[in-house]
Amino acid sequence: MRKFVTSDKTLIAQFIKGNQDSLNQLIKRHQSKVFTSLIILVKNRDVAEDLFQETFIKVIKTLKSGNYNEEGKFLPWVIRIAHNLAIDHFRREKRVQMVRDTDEYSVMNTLPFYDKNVEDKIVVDQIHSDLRKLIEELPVEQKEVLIMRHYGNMSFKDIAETTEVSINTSLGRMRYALINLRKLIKEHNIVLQA
Amino acid sequence: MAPNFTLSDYIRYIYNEVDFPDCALIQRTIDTDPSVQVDYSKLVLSLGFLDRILIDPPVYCVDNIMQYARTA
Repeated sequence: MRKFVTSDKTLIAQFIKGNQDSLNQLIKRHQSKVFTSLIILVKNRDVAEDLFQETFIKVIKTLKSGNYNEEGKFLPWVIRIAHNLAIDHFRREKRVQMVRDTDEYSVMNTLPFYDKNVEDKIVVDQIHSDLRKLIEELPVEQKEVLIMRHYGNMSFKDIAETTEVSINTSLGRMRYALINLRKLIKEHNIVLQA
Repeated sequence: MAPNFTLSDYIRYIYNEVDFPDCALIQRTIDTDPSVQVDYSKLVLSLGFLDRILIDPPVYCVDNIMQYARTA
């Protein structure tokens, strides 16, 4: 039986009318893409948590003020907000490059809660965590396009406009991101399974 | 990859950003050229992995947002 999924557009309209559960559904639907994007960008879990909350607070303010006009493109819009907040964060921190590795950001911090007896899951989680850290090490402009295209569902045209480069440049960055990612996966002997 | 299409073309194809007739030509190349099939599979696998590394924020982050929404 086909499961009926309420569209983002409907949930937004319901939330604007006062239905809090609709907002909860919207957040739950997109939270992992937004949060993972932020972690990859800022490389610090605490900062990512703060920016995640700031992102959705901005979303709420915009929706409630009636200024939302990105019909049908909710996730790309949210990812753009998250990206801009990450950029603002780095401006505030006066950092040219993304944050260096710190002790507080360990692989264990990114592991979800798991049953200690389930070794397979731990191994899989570890691989995922390692891969996430490899993506974090990509150059910023390559991470941006990877996040915006894959998680944010933004077209290369939209990405080009947002990052103020040509479509070919944004495509080139995506290409290099994937080439570099595969190189890193090979160097670190991470086994990708279908 | 096939001589007529670049890695960028295949990336755009995966994300449904290629118009007809290039779309059909790329699909045919993937279907008929074994070397392209291998490279294309690796590309799809790499991108697919991006979906498997997703993590959720802590519950309290969402709770804070919902709390804000109720009072805003």
